[in-house]
Amino acid sequence: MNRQTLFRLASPSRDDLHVEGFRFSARGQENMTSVAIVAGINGHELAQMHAAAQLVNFLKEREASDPSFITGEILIIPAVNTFGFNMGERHWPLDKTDINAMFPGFDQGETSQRIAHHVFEQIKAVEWGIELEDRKDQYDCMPYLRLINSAFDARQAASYFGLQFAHLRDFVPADAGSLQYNWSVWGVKSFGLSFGVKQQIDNKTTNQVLDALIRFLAKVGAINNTHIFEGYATNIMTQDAITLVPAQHAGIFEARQPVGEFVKKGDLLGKIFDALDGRLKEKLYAPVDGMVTCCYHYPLIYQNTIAYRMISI
Amino acid sequence: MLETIFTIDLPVGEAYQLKRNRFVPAEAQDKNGKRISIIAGTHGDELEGIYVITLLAEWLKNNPDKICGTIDLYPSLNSLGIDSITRSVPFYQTDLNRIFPGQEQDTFPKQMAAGIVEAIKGSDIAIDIHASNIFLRELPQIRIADTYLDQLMPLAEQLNMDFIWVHDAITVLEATLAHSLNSLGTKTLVVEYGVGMRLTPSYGQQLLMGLFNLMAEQGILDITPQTVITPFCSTTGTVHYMNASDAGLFIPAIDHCQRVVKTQCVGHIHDPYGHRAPIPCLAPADGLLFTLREYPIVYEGSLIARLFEASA
Repeated sequence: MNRQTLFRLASPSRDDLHVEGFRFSARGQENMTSVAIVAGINGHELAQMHAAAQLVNFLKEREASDPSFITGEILIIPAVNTFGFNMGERHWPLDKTDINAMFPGFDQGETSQRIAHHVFEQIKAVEWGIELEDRKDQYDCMPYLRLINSAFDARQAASYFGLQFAHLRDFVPADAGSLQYNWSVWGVKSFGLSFGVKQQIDNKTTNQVLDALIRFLAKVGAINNTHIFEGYATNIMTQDAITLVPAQHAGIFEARQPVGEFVKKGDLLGKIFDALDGRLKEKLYAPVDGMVTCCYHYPLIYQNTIAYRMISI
Repeated sequence: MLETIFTIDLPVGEAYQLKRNRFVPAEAQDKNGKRISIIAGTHGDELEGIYVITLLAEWLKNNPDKICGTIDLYPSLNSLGIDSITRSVPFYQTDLNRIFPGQEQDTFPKQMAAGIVEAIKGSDIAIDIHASNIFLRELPQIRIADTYLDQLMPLAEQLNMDFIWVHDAITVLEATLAHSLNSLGTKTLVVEYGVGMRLTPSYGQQLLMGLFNLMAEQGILDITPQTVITPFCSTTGTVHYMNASDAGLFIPAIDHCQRVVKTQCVGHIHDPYGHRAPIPCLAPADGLLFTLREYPIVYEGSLIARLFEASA
């Protein structure tokens, strides 16, 4: 393993921003597959940073015990916006710009464009790109792959992760500055792997994602086959398969079904109480048979907010 | 007529309200039929538009006999942000002007966006007023995506702004209110001037005269058109960007809106510890400094200034 400071950016007052990369490379081989895994572009992505760091540690330990374990080139960047992590800020702390809306970056542009540029220069020529990300809003979601329709048909390779679901959708304007989309523009076979709750770490989910990343690295030939479960035959879901369950009322939200649970039409999903007088304002029921994939994850809920997302086959 | 167009219940004893003050002609008068919407407060740290809408509302209230069309005033789209000095939609940290056209059943900001579009669509003209953010001070200007240049330029020239900046149709800007409204057939101009969290009353007066002129020219107000500035347009020259080459404290050497010559010093970036010599920021061309940094702390890349160089 080779730990590198990929770039530095001076601050007026505090320590420099230094973005660290961890490179693993098979020695003396040519035409190896190459993979970049990037997490922590936003400072709320604690679970994503942790999963990436755990992968660094796993690969380092396996490489130490077996020098032939690494068979490709792997670059892992656990955290880009370290300033954000250190002060609870999602975005670039000075101007609140979203670094993940600045790709491919611009070396003569604004600060967050330059950060995106420096990151992208390190990873734009890889064969495979994986962006670990949270959801911007307040949800707990099962780990799933985000696939954007592009020239690369990601459906087959999505199964390499062995996750239960991948969500395939068309490009939307908000994707234009994201790392995942810009990777695809540069011809990198890219995935978004979305999971967890922002600003929180759940060890069970972290381990699921760690397993999925190890499976992927083995399947594309970046590491030797290792002892790990095969995982799931990934279901590729489109919007048609997703059912939204909105809360008609605002108030205190009590979730009654966890993510990953299969429910039947009519099962109770959650309750909403008036925040001030405590009366029950609404019961939310499953409108279809299916699996709960995403649950609103905050005690206060706004009117008409999506409380649950379910998928049905 | 002050109206509440829609509400979204917040969790604890409050509702978000989109309020509109609508002015219409008195019954006996001829109706032009044109409808204009004047909008501010998409970003909670931008107050310049609220000020000019306040002035306009007071004038319309005192001059009902001059009104020939429908004039809708929306001073505070992101009311939670305005009342808490928050640029984005509070709690969600979402830039409201990057999620249009929104969605009726989704997050609170997307519901806001959907309701705002529903309220304004059908207007013939919309003026979406922005201040700059807290970092930059801007000359009064209008920003137009080149997709809509032909239909918007005649209106832009009536609005008494100094500069018309025509930019490429950037994909990410498809998520703005102006793009949504233009794509729905409402001719929408984006106005930007001043600085965040502050008022520049002289610029507010300048835009107010522009709004009077535009509404007179469009037959919405029965008043004599005003004499307005002939704006310069970015298509007749080049916009240059000056970004900080290092981190520090930027101290300008000249005032905003000055003409500068190439290599003239616009300001210096100082090292707060005094270890490094001040770095001069030199103008890259002859031109008008239409943007100048207001907030002194800079990182490498922070925008210092923009200047417009007219073609020879």
